[in-house]
Amino acid sequence: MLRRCLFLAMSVQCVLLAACQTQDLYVASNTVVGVHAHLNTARTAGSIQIGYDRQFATIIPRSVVPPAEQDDEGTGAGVTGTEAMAVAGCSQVTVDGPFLTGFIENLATGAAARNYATALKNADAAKAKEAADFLTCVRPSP
Amino acid sequence: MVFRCLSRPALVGIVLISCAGCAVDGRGLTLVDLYDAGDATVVRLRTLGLAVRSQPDDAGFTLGLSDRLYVVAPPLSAAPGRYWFAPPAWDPGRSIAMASFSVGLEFLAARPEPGLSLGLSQRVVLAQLPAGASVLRSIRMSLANPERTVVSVGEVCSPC
Repeated sequence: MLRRCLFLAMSVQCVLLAACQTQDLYVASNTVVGVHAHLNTARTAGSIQIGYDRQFATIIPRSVVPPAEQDDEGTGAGVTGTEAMAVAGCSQVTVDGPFLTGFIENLATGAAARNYATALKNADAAKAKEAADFLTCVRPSP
Repeated sequence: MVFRCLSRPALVGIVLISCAGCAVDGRGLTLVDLYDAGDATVVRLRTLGLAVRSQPDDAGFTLGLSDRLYVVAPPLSAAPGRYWFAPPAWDPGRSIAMASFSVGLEFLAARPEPGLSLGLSQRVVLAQLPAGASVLRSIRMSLANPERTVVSVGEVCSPC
């Protein structure tokens, strides 16, 4: 009886906490040695692993309202719907044995991501290289 | 019958581990280390026993050993160093990245991957942002040496 109540309470808490957030940009790694049961609310899927397992996941929101400045570039003129979130960046993880030991995360989203994408095409080689270095984890953001 | 026999030692084990210590949102039997990381502060929370968390990005509980690193930006006003029982001036849920390592039972209720682990588990969240947010930042983090973490937050208009 106690076990049933505990399971029910955990299930309710899980559903309630999972339901009170909108979808975020999410970059994460998960490593387990043992037993692991989890749900993926973005894909409405679940799994159970026994033993060793490591996952690396990136979830990019697909329903973001395009910002007004896109109209100036001509790419979003007259857009009234939604599109995927603008993201530019680099994730580099270091692994020693079964677990991660470190990471580098360079991240630009929204207006900053569009600026970096534009900078890659810049006629000024120095500015283009600066953007490329950021997007390949060579250097951090300015 | 077998299930009933196994449940008693398991219950006793859970009670003993819980009695070792208890912490809620980092307050309780917690060893806290704060590290300066440039444009952020790294908050390290180590707990033994039952640790319950309510912040949206790391909600759940751990029964056993828990070692968690939160990269908090902007930096905390508290001075870097070691603290006991509670992280000073810390608002849970402000972290821009986090890493956790736990031994024992861990229940995670946070989206997008709620789950239950038994054994050794490590979760590293490199980024979690609301849809449509505009940010520019860089995080270089060593999980073994969190004091070497470097975080830089740039202007969103860069490169301008």
